[in-house]
Amino acid sequence: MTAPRFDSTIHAATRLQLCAMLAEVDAIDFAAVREDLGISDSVLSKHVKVLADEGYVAVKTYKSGGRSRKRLAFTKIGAQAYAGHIAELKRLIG
Amino acid sequence: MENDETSELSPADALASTRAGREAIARRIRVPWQWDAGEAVSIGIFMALIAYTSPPWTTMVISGWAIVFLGMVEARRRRTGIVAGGNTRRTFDPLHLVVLVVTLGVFTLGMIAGARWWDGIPVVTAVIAAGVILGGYRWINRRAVARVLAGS
Repeated sequence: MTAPRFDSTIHAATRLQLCAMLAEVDAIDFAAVREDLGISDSVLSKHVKVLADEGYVAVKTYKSGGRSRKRLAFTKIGAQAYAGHIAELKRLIG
Repeated sequence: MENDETSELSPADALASTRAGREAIARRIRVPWQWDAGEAVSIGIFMALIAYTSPPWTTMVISGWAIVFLGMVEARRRRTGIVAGGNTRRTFDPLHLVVLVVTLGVFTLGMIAGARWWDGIPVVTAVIAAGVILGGYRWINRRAVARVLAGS
């Protein structure tokens, strides 16, 4: 059980959605996240950078069909921070 | 950007955002039955072919099937945009092992029975195995979608 802990880095609507997606998979394509969140490349990149700078998200580049693509995954501390943040939100709601 | 999004976000709103994220993933992992049927039929055909071939054809059948099957797995991954290696608690469902064991059991029994009694038995068992895989895959997919939506 993760200890409840508010995390201001995660606590933004877009980043919460992004983290909720990452928490359910091993990794997900950047393009798939952008499509589901309905935001532009640049906006998603900014959110990813905020999480990556905290060490919460790992970005991997790979080649597919001759094109360079990005894939996002939670790091261990990112997954722990998200779980702690969710626990705190649930605690606040009661 | 960060301040605009965080300032008015109540805990309830925040949890609603996470639910939206989970629903997006659930939509992506919900696999149409035709995809599962394609994989199940390919495994069934492979099992039937293996029962009636001998070296060096066996190697060719295994190689050909492996290419087709891995291609199907990659096509599925590209469709969803999700990597689910099955090696984490989130994406691994123990039902995968049950389906694998039952399928191998059916295949082995078919081979033994085919050698002892009737040549047609491996075909029958291949059809049964394909049915087990199709049923298993659909069940696993439903469980995965339900688990994601529940956030458990």
